[in-house]
Amino acid sequence: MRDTVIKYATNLKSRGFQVSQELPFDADGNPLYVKNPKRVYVDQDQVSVESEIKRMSGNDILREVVVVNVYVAVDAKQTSQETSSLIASLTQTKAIDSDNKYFRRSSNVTTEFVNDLLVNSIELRFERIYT
Amino acid sequence: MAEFIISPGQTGTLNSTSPTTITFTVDSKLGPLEIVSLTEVTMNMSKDVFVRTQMNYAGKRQFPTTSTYSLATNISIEKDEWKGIVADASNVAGSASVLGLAKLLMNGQKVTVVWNMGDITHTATGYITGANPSVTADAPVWTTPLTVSIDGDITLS
Repeated sequence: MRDTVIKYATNLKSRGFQVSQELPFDADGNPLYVKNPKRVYVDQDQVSVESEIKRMSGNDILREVVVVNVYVAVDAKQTSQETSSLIASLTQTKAIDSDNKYFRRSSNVTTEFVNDLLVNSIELRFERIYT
Repeated sequence: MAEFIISPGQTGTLNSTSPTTITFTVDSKLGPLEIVSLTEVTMNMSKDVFVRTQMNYAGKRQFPTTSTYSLATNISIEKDEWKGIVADASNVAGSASVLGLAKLLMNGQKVTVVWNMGDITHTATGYITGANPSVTADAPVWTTPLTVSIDGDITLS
């Protein structure tokens, strides 16, 4: 899913923003997205699988939840239309992955101030059922 | 191996390599339908009684008469189980596996039904008489209760 999100974010061609292929690892106490504002970072997929319907045969029906976190930091002093547009586009989970295998998609945006930056954290969540 | 209680003081063994299944067969035709998607099985066994009042007994007299048996299950529907499969060398036309659960019910097809309780095998004939498939947006998996009304007795072996 990470690759899909990166490809989608790259295709947005948001003016003034770049999309990194790097993971948002912590360098010298600061995550890369704090060191490099206006650059979109996509974290690794967080995947959890649990039994949705238990069957006596042991062949349970499973629910898989894939969570991808996206980070982008911008100047906290002033917001721009491009930033709002980018964040709005990054929450469009149906547009990011229209594969029908996912029956539920959701997104959640949180923000925090780090020094003079506003860090936008976008959680993308995809759920599917399979055996 | 997991253990299950047969009755107080007795234990049996549930063979984990041979999970609990229910098998339907039509007229011994090749291609029994094995239901592997069971989520719950309940046997219903009830005995009717004739009640008589007798003057020299304070309590009413009870005389057992006929019995009614049925099997209540819940399954998560598998396509091949519900709709049936294409007939081939190991599954002849008209067999339970080719017909599938929906047609067995709609046709009122008499079936031999076999189910296990550990090492105990139950065999009976009957009809699939109830199904209520449903699905929700929260869990898009079709599930249904499935009722089998037993015709006559159950054989234990």
